Amino acid sequence: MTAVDKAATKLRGKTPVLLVLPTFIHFCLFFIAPLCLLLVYSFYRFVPGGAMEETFVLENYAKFILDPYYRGIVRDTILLGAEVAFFTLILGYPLAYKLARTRSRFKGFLYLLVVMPLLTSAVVRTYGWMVILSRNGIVNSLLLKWGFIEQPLRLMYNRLGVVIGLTEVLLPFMTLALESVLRNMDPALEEAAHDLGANSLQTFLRVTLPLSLPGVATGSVLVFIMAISAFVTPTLMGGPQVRVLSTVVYEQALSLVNWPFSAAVAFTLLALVGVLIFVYNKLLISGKSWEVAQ
Amino acid sequence: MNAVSKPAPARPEPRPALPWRRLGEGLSQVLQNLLIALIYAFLLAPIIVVVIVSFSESAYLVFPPKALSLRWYVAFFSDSDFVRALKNSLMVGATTALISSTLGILASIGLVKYKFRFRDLLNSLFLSPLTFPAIVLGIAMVVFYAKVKLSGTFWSLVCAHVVLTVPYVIRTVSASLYGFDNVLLEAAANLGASPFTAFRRVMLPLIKAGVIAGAIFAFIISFDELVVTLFIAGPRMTTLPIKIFNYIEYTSDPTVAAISSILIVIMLLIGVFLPRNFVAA
Repeated sequence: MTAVDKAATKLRGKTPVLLVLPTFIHFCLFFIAPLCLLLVYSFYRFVPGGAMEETFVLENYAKFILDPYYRGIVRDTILLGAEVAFFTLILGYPLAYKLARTRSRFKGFLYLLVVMPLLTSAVVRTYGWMVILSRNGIVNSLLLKWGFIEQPLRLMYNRLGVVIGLTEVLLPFMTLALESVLRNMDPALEEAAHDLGANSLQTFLRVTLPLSLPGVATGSVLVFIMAISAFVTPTLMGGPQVRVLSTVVYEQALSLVNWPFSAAVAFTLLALVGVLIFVYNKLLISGKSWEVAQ
Repeated sequence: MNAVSKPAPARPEPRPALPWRRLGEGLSQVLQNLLIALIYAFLLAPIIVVVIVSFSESAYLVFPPKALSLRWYVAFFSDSDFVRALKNSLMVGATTALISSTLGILASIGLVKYKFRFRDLLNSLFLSPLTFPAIVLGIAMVVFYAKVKLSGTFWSLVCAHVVLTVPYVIRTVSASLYGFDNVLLEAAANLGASPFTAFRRVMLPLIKAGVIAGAIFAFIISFDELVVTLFIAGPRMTTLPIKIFNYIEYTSDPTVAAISSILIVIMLLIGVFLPRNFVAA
């Protein structure tokens, strides 16, 4: 028994109910009740003009299976999540490795630089990317001035812009997930591999990478979930061209006042996230039993 | 007399490294550091650019700025819409932080210090907003508030923000509580303290760092929250993130850069001081 367990078993009685009750009531009223209502609405029928017919139909969900347009949006959303997870992994791994292994006296500062963007709102950072990537933004004006291009490149208001923006916004999450695994890895293992004659690439592929897979899985699933549910960056960087589930939810709800369909899109997104969290927990459990087996 | 110098203390000979190999290692070190620097540049580029642009003289985005000025800072604070939005955000954030901290501290004590049925389930429920897609909660809240006729008020915003921020408080306060020994509460009770006095004089001082960190997180999350707020804030309760969001969708002058820079500096200061404060206990 750990100290924590001991502390937890010490106190019994009716008090815990009173302690958690306020939060529980608040969550029932402002979290569970709204979601239940939304679920009910997702089976209603939309009547053009903003009204709803209180019935039970599956047509809002059926659109995702029958309508190729909405099927495409589901596919695009998943693809976007995968792309962003991939790029954050590629960029986050070297960064996390450096943070975990460095003996520099600026270590604390290097950490702060990774965490600081997390404390800066996504709107502000997306605005920064708009300044960099827009038609007369920094990249285009520099390339034009140096004569590399004749016409400004289209770097945003398309998919590319969304991927760049989301990769940057979510990079800290991936880095921190990888770093926590790499930090707990014994550097002696890598040294041993070197002493046994492995070169750097072999050491990485056969020692470091396999041992850091739990972090890779955690970070990727986390980033994937956040990327497919992101709204700010796809809206601002993607413009009207890029449609993902979250922007469809917003558009259907606020512009078209089609609450039933918006609700169905929202629950489709929620189902995707739910499946991922389920897979993630499975991975976590198998990862743990794998560690125990070692 | 001083012909023979003392023999130098025996030093282990460094392993003879082939010069080309040493060069290769040095080169790979340089390349590695360059790669890290480039990744940092990518990560910090938007933030740095926003700060630089905010001091620009021109109303168009010229980079680097040709002349420096503070006119966009003046422009922000002389725009009554922006100032009202900032005030709304501060009020909502402070109220949310207060309520979240209170709820979160109580819930954490219950969850960490007691054992009861459904404890794990409740814990998962209270932490679930962390991974819950904000867009789904946004549409759920707008539907719900329309039904109960509570749309677009100060309290409708606060109630939604409390759901989003309680998990952060529970996480930081729980972390502090794991290090707290229940024996101290028993000792306080034996010495005649009422449960509330024991909490206030014994437990609270010891978990102070977690409480402060949780309250600050709650404030920041609420202050920055855009997605849920976008759905439920009526025209009278515009917050700063919404104002910025609407502004940059159609305009590109650096007014937004000015307020963004102020926020970045505040967050940086919090980032520098918060961990130290949190680690201290």
